[in-house]
Amino acid sequence: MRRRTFLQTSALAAGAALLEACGSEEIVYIESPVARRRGLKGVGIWHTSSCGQCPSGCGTRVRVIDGNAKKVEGIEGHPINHGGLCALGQASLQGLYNPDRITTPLRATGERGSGAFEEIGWDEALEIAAEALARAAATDPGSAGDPGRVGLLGGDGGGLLEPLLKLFSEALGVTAPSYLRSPDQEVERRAAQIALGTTGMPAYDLENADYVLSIGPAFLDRWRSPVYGIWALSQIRGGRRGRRGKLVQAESRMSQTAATADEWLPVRPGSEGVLARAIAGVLLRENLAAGSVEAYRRLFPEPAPDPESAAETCGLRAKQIVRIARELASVEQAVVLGGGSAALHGNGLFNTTAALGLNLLLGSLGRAGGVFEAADFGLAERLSTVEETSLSELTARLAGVETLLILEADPLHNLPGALGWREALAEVDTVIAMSAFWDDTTRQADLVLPVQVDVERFQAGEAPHSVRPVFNLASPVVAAEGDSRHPGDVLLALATALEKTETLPWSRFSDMVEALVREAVDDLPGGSGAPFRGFFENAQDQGGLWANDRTGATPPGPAAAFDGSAEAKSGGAEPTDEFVLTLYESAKFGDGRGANRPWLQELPDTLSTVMWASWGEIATPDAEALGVATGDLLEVSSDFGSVEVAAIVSPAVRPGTLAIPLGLGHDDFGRYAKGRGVNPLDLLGPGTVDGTGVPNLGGTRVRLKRTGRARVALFGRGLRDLEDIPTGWASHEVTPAEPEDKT
Amino acid sequence: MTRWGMVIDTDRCTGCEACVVACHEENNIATVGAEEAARDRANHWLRIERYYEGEFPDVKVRFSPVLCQQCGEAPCEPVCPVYATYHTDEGLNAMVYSRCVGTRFCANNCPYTVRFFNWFDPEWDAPLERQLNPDVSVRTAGVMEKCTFCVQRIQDKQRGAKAEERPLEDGEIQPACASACAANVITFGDLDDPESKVTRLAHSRRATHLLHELGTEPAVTYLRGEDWDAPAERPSPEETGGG
Amino acid sequence: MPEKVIRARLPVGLSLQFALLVGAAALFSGCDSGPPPAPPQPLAYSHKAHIDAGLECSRCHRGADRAKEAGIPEMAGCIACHRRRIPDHPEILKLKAMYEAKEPIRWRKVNVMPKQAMVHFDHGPHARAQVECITCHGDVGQMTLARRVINTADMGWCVDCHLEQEASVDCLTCHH
Repeated sequence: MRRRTFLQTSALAAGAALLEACGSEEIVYIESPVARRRGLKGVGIWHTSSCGQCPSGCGTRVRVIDGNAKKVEGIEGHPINHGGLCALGQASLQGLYNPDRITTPLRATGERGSGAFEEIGWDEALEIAAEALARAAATDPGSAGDPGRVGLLGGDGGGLLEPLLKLFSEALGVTAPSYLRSPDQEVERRAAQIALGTTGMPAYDLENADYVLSIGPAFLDRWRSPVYGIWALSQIRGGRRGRRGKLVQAESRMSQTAATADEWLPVRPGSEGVLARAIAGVLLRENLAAGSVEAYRRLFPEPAPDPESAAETCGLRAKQIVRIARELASVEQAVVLGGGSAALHGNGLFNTTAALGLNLLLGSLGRAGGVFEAADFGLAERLSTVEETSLSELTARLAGVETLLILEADPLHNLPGALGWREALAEVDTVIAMSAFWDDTTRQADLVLPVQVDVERFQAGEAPHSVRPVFNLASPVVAAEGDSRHPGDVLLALATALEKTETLPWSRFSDMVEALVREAVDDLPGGSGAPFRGFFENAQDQGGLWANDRTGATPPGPAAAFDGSAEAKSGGAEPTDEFVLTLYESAKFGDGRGANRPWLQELPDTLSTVMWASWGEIATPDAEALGVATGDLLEVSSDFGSVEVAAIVSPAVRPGTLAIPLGLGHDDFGRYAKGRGVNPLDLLGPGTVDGTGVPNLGGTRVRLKRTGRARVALFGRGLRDLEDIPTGWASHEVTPAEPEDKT
Repeated sequence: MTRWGMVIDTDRCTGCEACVVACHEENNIATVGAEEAARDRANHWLRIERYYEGEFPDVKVRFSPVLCQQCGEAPCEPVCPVYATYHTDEGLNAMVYSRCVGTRFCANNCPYTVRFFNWFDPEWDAPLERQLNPDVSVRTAGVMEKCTFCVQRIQDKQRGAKAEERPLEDGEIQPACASACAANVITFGDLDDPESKVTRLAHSRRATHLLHELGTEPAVTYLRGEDWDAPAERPSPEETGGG
Repeated sequence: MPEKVIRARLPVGLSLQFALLVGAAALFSGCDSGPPPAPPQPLAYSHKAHIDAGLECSRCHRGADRAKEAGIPEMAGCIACHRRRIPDHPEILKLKAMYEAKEPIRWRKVNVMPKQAMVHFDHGPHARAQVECITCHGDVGQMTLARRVINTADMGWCVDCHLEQEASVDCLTCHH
């Protein structure tokens, strides 16, 4: 800036400042109605709540000043998150105050997906919804065998909304609801049933483990509660007197978990099961099993692969496999995690079963630091014992559904397009979306019913994967935005409108929960004999009720042999010019729910430092061979689709693989997510994990091509100049020089 | 006398970045958008650095949360022409926004690259501004900023203790980053208090300082990661503070 | 050989701008246009009437003796008294209507710090130091319409008292 201009501007600035300084700008005080205990003006009060950003059930405290939420933190001593909160949870307030939030009921006026909606009142909206449900239910014979003309799809993390949706389906006499969860969960549930004999999901007492071998799950990234995992790691790494544990991560990609681990086993994608079996082989051959050899042989009667052939298949070293097995056996409390990325291959069920089966040999079932049945107070079962319909069943009959009600789920974005949801949805007469944001599915709705987010609503739900029962309970922390309503209240209002109130006699979700707690009070800690009102309110003030002892049952062990393909479908068995595509939920976006928050978009990805974009991690030798540098835009294509991502060249990538995070590439989802990144699920075919019907995220091969353009935003500040990791920034349109002919 | 300091245990850091988001949330740090982020104008007072060692398949990664070191001999302080940054009696490197005229000399001098310049007046699309923390100023264009060790929280607790006529307890002041971390990676406290946890940890045999050789005397001590297979060097509970 | 004389010549335009700058600075430091007029308020609340009736400052401004902001009372606080005291006064009727409708009263804050000073005032320490409310707020007991009496842009006014009372003059104490 020239000196003259500088002085001119400062003179003007001084003048303007003069005016402001003397108070022509006032601040307006507005009182807003707040549901709970109010503080002094300008002083914050911390209210307890329960995080709704993922299903894990972390307990939160929210600082509220004059009715505005300012900061979210964890509840100290909460058995899941122990005072911490992950990036996604911290960013929840940008969901609450998101400028593109839906806060009034809307009805589509134009073609589906055109974005043309008109605002309507709740009375009219409920009338339309009830009418569509009644009409379709009338033609629905109900359950067994018949397809059902009403579809109900719930999300994950609904807490007691889950059984409420089931009750709703029962009251209407329609097919039970399905739920859209992380696909690996279903595989893990079945594998645990087979390998451990659990009825529900397994839960891990990680905080007491001396050695954690995770075969697949990136449990510090985004798997179950990463906050619990992180806290447990701090205990393992010196939080317990005189004990320091080891973390070994067997995962095809270097996740944050693998980066944190003491040792990373970069197992070839799809061969995780072979690794697990080989480790078992060492334990058996060397008589190192402290647990039940008999139970393991019941599960896997055939002989285990030897370390050398397994190493060949897995892309590891035989010595390493043997050493890990011996280390596992040498400590008192070792545990093996299975599922996660290992579950999402064609042979994912085998991979997960084999991993979980190792716990039998280690004797970690029902033992401190080991694996348990997930514990709970049984509240959901008191409401409804209806068995849910699998997502693949709903997908199969979707085109025949007349009215589809979706509660906080985004199947169009979170399922591979090849499964045909977009096409099938076009056949559905009425799509009702209960949602707060313009996710891909909500855009296709005929009727949008705006729901409140976690801090605005009465939260009630049991943490799903805990070794001790945790019932999160909290009343609203701030007043709801606009006309949004509690989704539970909406379901109950629909039940009233449909005159199906015999089994749903409450008008509000909070009433339902209070009645449920009253019924179950003797089973809840501190409930027996206590005056109910005080007990119920204290529970809310605390953020819920939990028991300190591990009460998860000891899994009984396998009932029969694993019946499935033991062949490893390993990636890259023969060298091809194709890359094995690895997909994963990023720690900050998850399945994509965090993509509409600017903090998370601008948060540099931990390992690549990328902001506001998708990227593909490619190994250094592969990049050299292709003439690709960090920042180059690659066209990634499969037989099913193609996407464009910026290359990130990394030393921690298995050659022959390309890793792209899930969570971006929405059609809309608000101004911060729109047009950002790509949805790599577009590259997938309709394949499923054998024996489960769950989409196979791991079986795709892709081809890479340089586009000749380069552009990526990196936050590369560092203390040292490192040539081999991305540093500095790169935002440029260049035409890289053509690589030398390598033939 | 009080001397604020921090200990960061890199052995426990998983790179989850909850601390980074917490810092943004507490300190009204604006996002700049994709275009400006690509021009290195993104504002992250606290960042997680990652360092790769080795070659595939034996790659190791180390995480290091880096923030303003509140240096005892801060290179940024002597170069400000308007005395907008100076050292307080309690050991903080103060950044006075209203004095700053934006020469950016301080950022130039900082070897840790932890100072950020506001290239723009921040904008929050309504109603995101309702989340803004009234205890922290919203900085305008032309002003430098950096981590303050959450000075607003320090003052809040100090005054609270004074009002209650009692001394501050160790661990009562938790900057946003320390509070967010589930692994208790970040410990904050008074380095002049021999009994405080931060003092004990700062004397760990794993202790190190960043760019120690430059003589900046940082108030932040880093605890190096351990290797599992070094059983003779297992940390004692005293060193790790027991969790 | 004649010496070359080099005379520095300021272009006129530049010196004028400089003068403006200096002038503005002078004005800025004194802000001697005086305190601004009292802003209009949605309800005709009279401090004089309430103080004449015997109320203390902290009865309504509950944060004044301990918190950052003195704050203003919530509607429920006003209603608690005015349910029975002069319940039919036109302003009270307005208040009650707003309370029933849960409509927030949009009060205009009077004692405002300049935004670009990026300063945080905390009532607590001042109350503990026994600074009287009228020191900074003036004789509120005589005001029918609340107005600011001091120049909040004049940092020197605050610093003088701080020096006198040996309170902190560290920048960070107030500016952060």
